[in-house]
Amino acid sequence: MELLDGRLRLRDVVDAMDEGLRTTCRRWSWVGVLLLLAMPGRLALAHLLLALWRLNDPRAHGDALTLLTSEWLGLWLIGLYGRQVFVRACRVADGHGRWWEPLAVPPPLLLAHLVGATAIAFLFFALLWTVVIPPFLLPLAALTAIAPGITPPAHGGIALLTGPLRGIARILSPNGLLLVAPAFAVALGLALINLHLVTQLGMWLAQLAVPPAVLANWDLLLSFDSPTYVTLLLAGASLAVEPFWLAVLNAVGGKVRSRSTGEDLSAWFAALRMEQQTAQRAEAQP
Amino acid sequence: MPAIGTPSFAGRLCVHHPQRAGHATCMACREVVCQDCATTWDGINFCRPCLAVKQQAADASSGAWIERFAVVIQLAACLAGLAATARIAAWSLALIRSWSV
Repeated sequence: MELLDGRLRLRDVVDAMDEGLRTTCRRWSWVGVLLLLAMPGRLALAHLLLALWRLNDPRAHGDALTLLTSEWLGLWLIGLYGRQVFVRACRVADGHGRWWEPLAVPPPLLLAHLVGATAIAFLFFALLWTVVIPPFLLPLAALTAIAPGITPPAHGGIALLTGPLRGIARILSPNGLLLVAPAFAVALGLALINLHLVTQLGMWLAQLAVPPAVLANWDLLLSFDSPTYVTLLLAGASLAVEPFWLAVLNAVGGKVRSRSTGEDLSAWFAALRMEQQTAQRAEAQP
Repeated sequence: MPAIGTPSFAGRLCVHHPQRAGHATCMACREVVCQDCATTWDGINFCRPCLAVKQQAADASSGAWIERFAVVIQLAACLAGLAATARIAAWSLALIRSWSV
């Protein structure tokens, strides 16, 4: 009965995390593609938040804010394509297929991702006033990139919302995300600290070469008192963690799918048969 | 001698049931078929396999039409959703910011 149980255990999730981290390290060129495509959207979001911070009466600048959010959403769409490309690159086996294959995302998959991500983004901002619910929606946004590959759209294009949401539910229900999300919340904090330390190290090295008076302004700019610095630090940390986050979720999704379809059992059976055949060959040889 | 336009099936057997006498000619594969195999569709005789192929093609063409319609609906929904998200994001962010002013 244990073999038929579709839920992931802690060991499975740790294995998936290990697999995801290894995959990210092997696909470093695709990490670059993901970061390049995600960066404009992240910088636009930082710009939007800073503009909001500077407005004394934001309710009087509704049209300007809508324009900024529209610009950010336009660049966010490029980031969605980047996520889909990276997830496809993670799924391609080493040395198989043509190098550009991950870039050729099938339109139904991209559309399913777009539908799911738009729905999650709408819910995120519609429920922002509750303050408590939006943080729980953030991981779901990443899952919309993984879900179309786990639950392919039926009949090519007829997916609407049900396809991506079914895929998300399949990853959520076996506790996969509940174990991965806290680990990545810690990873985000560590990335934030590391980035801050790197900038401080840069400042310290600069002080060795440049007179302190020249760097006085930079001291103020690169401190936690500066909203620009804090926003850019958050954007940088989220970008640094994103490839690992996507690769691990993809590995968790792959495990959930193989559990529910019986792929893991057939792989296990094939491995057993191969062992048996190897043993028989060894016995047959004089 | 048979009249022009009236096919004669005397001595001819069904291509799918060799023990049965021929009754009609399938207008798709031009084979002689028995009474059970022949089906008239839009006034034309077809054998069952050819009719099944025609049925599949008809289903596929209507399915493709539905798929295209679904894709257009999804794209339109996405565009509307993005426009609504931009508006609601501006509204929500302004609301959150106004709490701290």
